[in-house]
Amino acid sequence: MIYAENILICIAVPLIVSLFFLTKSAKRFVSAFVIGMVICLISAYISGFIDYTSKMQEGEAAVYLSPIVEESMKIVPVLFYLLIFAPKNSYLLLFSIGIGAGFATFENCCYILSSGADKLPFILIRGLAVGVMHIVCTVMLALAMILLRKFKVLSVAGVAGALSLSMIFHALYNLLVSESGISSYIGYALPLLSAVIMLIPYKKHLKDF
Amino acid sequence: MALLDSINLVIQIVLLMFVIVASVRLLKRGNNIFLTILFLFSIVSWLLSDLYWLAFDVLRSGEHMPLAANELGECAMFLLLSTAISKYKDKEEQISVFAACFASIFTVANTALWIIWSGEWLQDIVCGISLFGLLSTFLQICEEKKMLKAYVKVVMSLSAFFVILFQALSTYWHSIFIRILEDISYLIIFAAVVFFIVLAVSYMRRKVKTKPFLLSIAAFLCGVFGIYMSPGIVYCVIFALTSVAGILMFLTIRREVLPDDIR
Repeated sequence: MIYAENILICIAVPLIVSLFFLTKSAKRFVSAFVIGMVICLISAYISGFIDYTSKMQEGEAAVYLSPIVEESMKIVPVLFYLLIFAPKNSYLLLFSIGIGAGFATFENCCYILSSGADKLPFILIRGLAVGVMHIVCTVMLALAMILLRKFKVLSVAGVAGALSLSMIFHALYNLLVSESGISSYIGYALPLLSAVIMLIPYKKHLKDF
Repeated sequence: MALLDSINLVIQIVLLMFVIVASVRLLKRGNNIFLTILFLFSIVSWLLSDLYWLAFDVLRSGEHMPLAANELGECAMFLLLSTAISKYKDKEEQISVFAACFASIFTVANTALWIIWSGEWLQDIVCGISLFGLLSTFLQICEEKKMLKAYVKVVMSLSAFFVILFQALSTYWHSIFIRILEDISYLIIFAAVVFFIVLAVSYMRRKVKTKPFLLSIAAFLCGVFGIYMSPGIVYCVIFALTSVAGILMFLTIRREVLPDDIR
């Protein structure tokens, strides 16, 4: 058993203190990073609760349930920031990346503490696959929101569509890595490959953001 | 039959990959970036949904799936497609009574049947809501474009009524007569998909804009409702026709967004 709340406090306090010394973009990113970690903890609570009440078999919750809960939780702060503060596109992207990075970092911290960090290749795979996957999902969400806002169709249908897209991506990754063998290698490569595919148009049209 | 299903699925995945590559190329050349990019997003969702299903089939075949994530991909597709076509809607136009009634009654009836068949309340309701979104937006646009004449509405309503009725009867009673009625309901769906595909192609050949795109969406919608209610070989046939409708959607969008002088 690990004490996830204590780990969160330990990581978040220095970041929160640093907020007083930071300005503009850096402040936004660090705030989002901390929010991402809190969201990760809340998602774990919700997944655990649903897993317990629905009496799923071992491992089923991680494969089927967590993508839906985690992506639903990640969209909440992004949507709140978008609708309440109406930020510029670049700030929305920055905020979303912060949420994804914070989420992935906290998840990795808890995972390493519970499973050990003695195998470097495994840790590298964990960092490159899960870490990148959460960022890809939130960037995908943010890009979809930016597009919907740009074309003035920021509707429930559009947002739900973007959310479902990130959920299916996350669910596919979880399903592929749930079994050992070739499927897990494909699963580990999926986030990196998607990140590269997304980076090409992103870098090209960076000025538009 | 499982092998035929898998072959069908793999063919659809390959076709969707081609459509994605072609849509990315279209982004550079086309005028209506909004339509193309949302269509691209929706096709990516469709592809992810298919890939999920294929991965599940390979890795956990026969296992119970507590939450069908592949249906989330389908929901994403319906919602993104509905957002894409919403640009055709006239915001000042009143909501059509026929569109609202038909979409809500038909989707609720279908959702009720899915719940009876699968017993999965949550995912069937979520899927039903997203299909309602697409169907109602589509019918509203058709009304605004004056595509739905009185006799078309009557034929549509009667066909939908009989399909639902025959499917409901076959759920509770099993006799040769009911079996024939069930087959008639599949025939209606099959005829509707083929009819819309043929009509869309004929309009495309006449270089008409917008109509072929809307007709290809009609074929796709009929195919989706058909897939959800059909078993065995009928499922395979309607699944293949839905893939054709997907390709047709891309071809009609291409016509929609490319400048006239290039065509």
